[in-house]
Amino acid sequence: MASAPIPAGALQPGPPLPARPVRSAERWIKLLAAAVLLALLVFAWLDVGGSLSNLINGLFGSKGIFRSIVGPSLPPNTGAIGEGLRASVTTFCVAVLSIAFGVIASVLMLPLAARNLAPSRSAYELVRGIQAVLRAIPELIMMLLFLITVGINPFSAVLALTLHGIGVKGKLFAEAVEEMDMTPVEALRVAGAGRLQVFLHAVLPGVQNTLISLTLYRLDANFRSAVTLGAVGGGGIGFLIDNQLNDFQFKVVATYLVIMVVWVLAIERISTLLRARL
Amino acid sequence: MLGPAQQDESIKWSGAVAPDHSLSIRGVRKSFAGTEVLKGVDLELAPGEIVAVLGANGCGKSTLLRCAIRLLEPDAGEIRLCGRDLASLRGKELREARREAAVVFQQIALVRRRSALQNVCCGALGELPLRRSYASNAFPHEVRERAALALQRVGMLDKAWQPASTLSGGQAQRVAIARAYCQRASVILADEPVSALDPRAAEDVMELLADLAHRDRLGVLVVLHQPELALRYADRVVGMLLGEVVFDAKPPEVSPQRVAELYQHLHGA
Ligand SMILES: Nc1ncnc2c1ncn2[C@@H]1O[C@H](COP(=O)(O)OP(=O)(O)OP(=O)(O)O)[C@@H](O)[C@H]1O
Ligand SMILES: [Mg+2]
Repeated sequence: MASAPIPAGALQPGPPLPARPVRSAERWIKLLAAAVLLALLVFAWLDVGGSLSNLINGLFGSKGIFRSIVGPSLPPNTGAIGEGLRASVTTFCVAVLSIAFGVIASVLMLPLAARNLAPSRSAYELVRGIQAVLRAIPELIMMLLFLITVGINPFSAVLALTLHGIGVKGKLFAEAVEEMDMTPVEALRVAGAGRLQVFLHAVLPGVQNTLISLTLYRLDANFRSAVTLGAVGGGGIGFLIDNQLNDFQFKVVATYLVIMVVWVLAIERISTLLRARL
Repeated sequence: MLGPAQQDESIKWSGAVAPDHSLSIRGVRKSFAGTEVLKGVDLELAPGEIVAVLGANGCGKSTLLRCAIRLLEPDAGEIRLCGRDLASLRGKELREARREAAVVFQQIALVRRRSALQNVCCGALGELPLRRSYASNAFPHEVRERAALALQRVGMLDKAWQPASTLSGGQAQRVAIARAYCQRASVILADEPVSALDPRAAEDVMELLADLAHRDRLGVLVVLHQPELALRYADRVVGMLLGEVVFDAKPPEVSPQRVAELYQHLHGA
């Protein structure tokens, strides 16, 4: 095959670029930022008592995670599968219920939480403020509060996850509405439709897929949180893991961990598949 | 003297006792952050009339349209829609008065997931109580029939069940106009309804709007960026320059020179 000859000029250098303007402050600010970041990292390392020997011993030493935990937990105890599955279903129920409650509450808050729907600036600020506070309180802390008021049971976990979830989903949902095309909304407003009618016929159908996608996306995160809250009294597989760890039943714990990982991966997979179909 | 029933009739869509002007805009001013975008605009629109507004990008055409139905609050001036002073109305009253107007946008303002028919039915939302409108299948039979009629009027009846997202731009724009028709508005305000359409579809939509004005006696106000369409289809052409109306005349009286002047300042100075 005869290839075309490369034209003589092809490899010539391009035109000289005009000199890039350098603002005198630029370099200096970068240096300062690097110094601050380095100082922060050093401080953090010292503050948590970081030490290289702890790091190595913790992983590989005689009391390290590999020798004292991973080793003794193999092979996992297959006798614990039944109980583990049963408990993991409870964990899943906690996740699903809290997601459902969270979605309902977040959707109901939308007319106030989305800037482009809110009747007044102050209503919007108030609702988004409440959501920010709910988001700022970690699920675990929320759970500790409900343990006092509701007691040691899975429903406390549902409540804790729901409240934190309203903070997270409320914001995500509101942002989805703020980004939506507003022209159908305006057309219906001009047609004399009331707020609720506009919400039902233009806003919800407009963002419905985005909301479902966001919800599915949060499902595995909610399951993992449900496991965590289980360990502090919320029941389910988290509770079993905590109990068996206290009894040093590492082979049983290993079984539970496998079950938990399978759940999380399965939820992730199914949610991805469903979202692709939207 | 008019009895109460007749008075009521005069503000409804009947054509028989229609007021002189469907839409009357007087001395409307609007500023954004200290910049005056509308500097005292006057514009009258009569029933049965299609009026085109021409003007360069940013001269305030969309702002004017939005002020006309109080999607934006004008700073000053008077707006009468079918004889009612919009500025003095609030809440439910404003909603009822606004029903006389329908809007059509360049970005096709349909709910994409819903069928053409469902979208058209939504034009009737303003007259339905919530219990007949919480979902599309709660709409009364009468509204569906009227929607079908509207779709037929714009030549889209065969696409009634197609989701709006699958319609072409020209088809979707006609469905949007059918929604205005189903709303039984007296005035259609269209902001660049044909800017996203190919020349053929643009002609169809303009023909439809002109026909709605002339045959159904609606007042149609349409913002255009195509002077030739304006001159061909409109009964009157309004030229806007930097927030002011610089001419308002019948097409034969609008010289190419005057049209060209609307767009010149962009390139001069
Ligand atoms: N919400 C707003 N806030 C601030 N400025 C605005 C706002 N809406 C419009 N403007 C400004 O008002 C001026 C007129 O805008 P408008 O959209 O009415 O122009 P237009 O004539 O419709 O232009 P186009 O032909 O591009 O649609 C522009 O300078 C625009 O930047
Ligand atoms: Mg515009």
